[in-house]
Amino acid sequence: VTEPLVSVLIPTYNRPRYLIMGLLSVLRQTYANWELVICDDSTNDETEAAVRPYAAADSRIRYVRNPTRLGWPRNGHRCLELARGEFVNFLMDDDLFLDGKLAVMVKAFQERPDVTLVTSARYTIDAEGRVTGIQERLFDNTTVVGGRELAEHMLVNVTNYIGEPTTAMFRMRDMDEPFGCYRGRQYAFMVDVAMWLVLLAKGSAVYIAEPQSCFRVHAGQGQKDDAQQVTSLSEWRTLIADAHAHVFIRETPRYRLTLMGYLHMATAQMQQIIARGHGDVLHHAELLEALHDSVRDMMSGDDG
Amino acid sequence: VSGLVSVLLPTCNRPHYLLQALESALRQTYAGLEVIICDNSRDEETKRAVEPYLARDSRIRYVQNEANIGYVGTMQRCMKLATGEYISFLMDDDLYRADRLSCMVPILESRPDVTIVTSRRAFIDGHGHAVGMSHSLSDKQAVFDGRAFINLMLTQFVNFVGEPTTALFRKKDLHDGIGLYGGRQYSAIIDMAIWIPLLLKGNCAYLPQLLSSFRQHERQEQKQPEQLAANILEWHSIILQAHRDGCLQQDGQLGTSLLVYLRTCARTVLDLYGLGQAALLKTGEIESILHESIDEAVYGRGIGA
Repeated sequence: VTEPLVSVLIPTYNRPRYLIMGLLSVLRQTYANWELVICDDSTNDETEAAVRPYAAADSRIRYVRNPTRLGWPRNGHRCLELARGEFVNFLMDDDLFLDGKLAVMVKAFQERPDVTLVTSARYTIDAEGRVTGIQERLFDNTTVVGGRELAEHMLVNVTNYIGEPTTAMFRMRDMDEPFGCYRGRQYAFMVDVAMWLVLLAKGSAVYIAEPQSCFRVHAGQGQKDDAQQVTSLSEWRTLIADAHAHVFIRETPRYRLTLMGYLHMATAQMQQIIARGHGDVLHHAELLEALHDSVRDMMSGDDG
Repeated sequence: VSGLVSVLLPTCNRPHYLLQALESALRQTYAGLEVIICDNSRDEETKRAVEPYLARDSRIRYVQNEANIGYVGTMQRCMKLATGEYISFLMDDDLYRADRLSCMVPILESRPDVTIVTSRRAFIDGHGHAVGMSHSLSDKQAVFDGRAFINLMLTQFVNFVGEPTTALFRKKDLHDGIGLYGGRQYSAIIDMAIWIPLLLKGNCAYLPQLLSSFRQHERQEQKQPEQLAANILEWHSIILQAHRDGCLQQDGQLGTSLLVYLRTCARTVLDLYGLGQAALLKTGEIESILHESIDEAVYGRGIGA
């Protein structure tokens, strides 16, 4: 039996040290039939110098230097365009795979033809690579779950239970939108949830209870982090509304419950941002629109 | 000579509890008090129950409303009839501890800066059994700055003073009337509308003893839908009025208060749909107030600026 080809995609930008750790975690995979596509959007040559020796030594590594900066999320689009595998797994340039990840996930796909997404528990690591914990678990045991059920669970709780782009694997042919897009709309920060919704609309998901990857959490809640959090908050609202217009949270009471959860999370995060002295980042037109739209939708329509 | 305390007992259709409340007032170790019962009941049962007490204790005055003037109207009528220097409400299902006024009055007599004396309070069930107590604000007697106390209540969305039964204040400090604040008559959050004007004038003294008991009925837990809808309107109004009156002025305080408010409202809206009472939300007023508070929370100055 031949192993299907898995494309591991790393969009990278100016962090060669972490990137090489990620690359090494791919080389350590027990699964052999992968290609590693590294799309380098860096502003200097350090990343290229660090990667070239590995690319020369292992033909499975394809290194692409963007002639001009593409920026985020277009560097993600580029990765997906270059992928040739039947399966795709992103690897964010500061994250790590555990050694069995590709083998375990390909096997999960092969056992269940209706599955369009395989994800797993994940460790969080700090800047030095120390494990700091396990992200909130979706289930205690490895579980197959309906796509709609899982998507609605995420939406109602306004929580990305599936994980970051690094966490999950999918089939190339199931991803019929560009990287980080859902319903034709491009996301900047909620790229992962956008992709997961595309995939969950098409089939079931497998959750593997044993961690398969590490997600790096950088310290700090500076003004810039809070500004990103505000953009993410406004993007959540768009995801919820587009999911409702699509195939998820269709019933009005469920949509209303989701909006209540959204307003709950948004106001709590906004309060924390004010408490950190960064209230100015809340002067954000999309965030205000998101809150107004949520109130309007929450109070319109009748149940039943 | 210590000043006269008017214990104000608005009551409606529950003579059994009322008599317990009345007896707890009459048992006070503090000597100078009058008890004013204002009866808004539909029938004569309360009147008949009170009559024996009136005959043997001249400190009690009883009036019966000719028409149903509601909860707020009854409180206001009590206030009009009060002749004491100090006011102490006693809701008709609550209880005072016998030394309550003896503990509280001396503070108002000795501290002109204090406009509210409150205490920790016990929670009791329908049978009078203790089921809990309010959070402790301090292990020993303490005086909190009035405005800081308002800011704390409005940013945490907790009425730290307590229900009307809990606190003692001077009659002259509440010349606007009960629950009238900034020209608006409050009803759903009438206690907040009593405490805030008082705290704008002075400080809040807190006693750690359980000087009163607040009864929690099982049915009381499920608030009336109309009251839930009124809460949305009244909380918004009181937050902005307090801000106009110089509260919530520190960086981010008004925003924090309005964000907690919005979060609470989102829950209330969902509850009202769940109760099949969405019609109460369809007046347009509630929705426009929620939209306003989003902008006020983010731009932080409110209408008054």
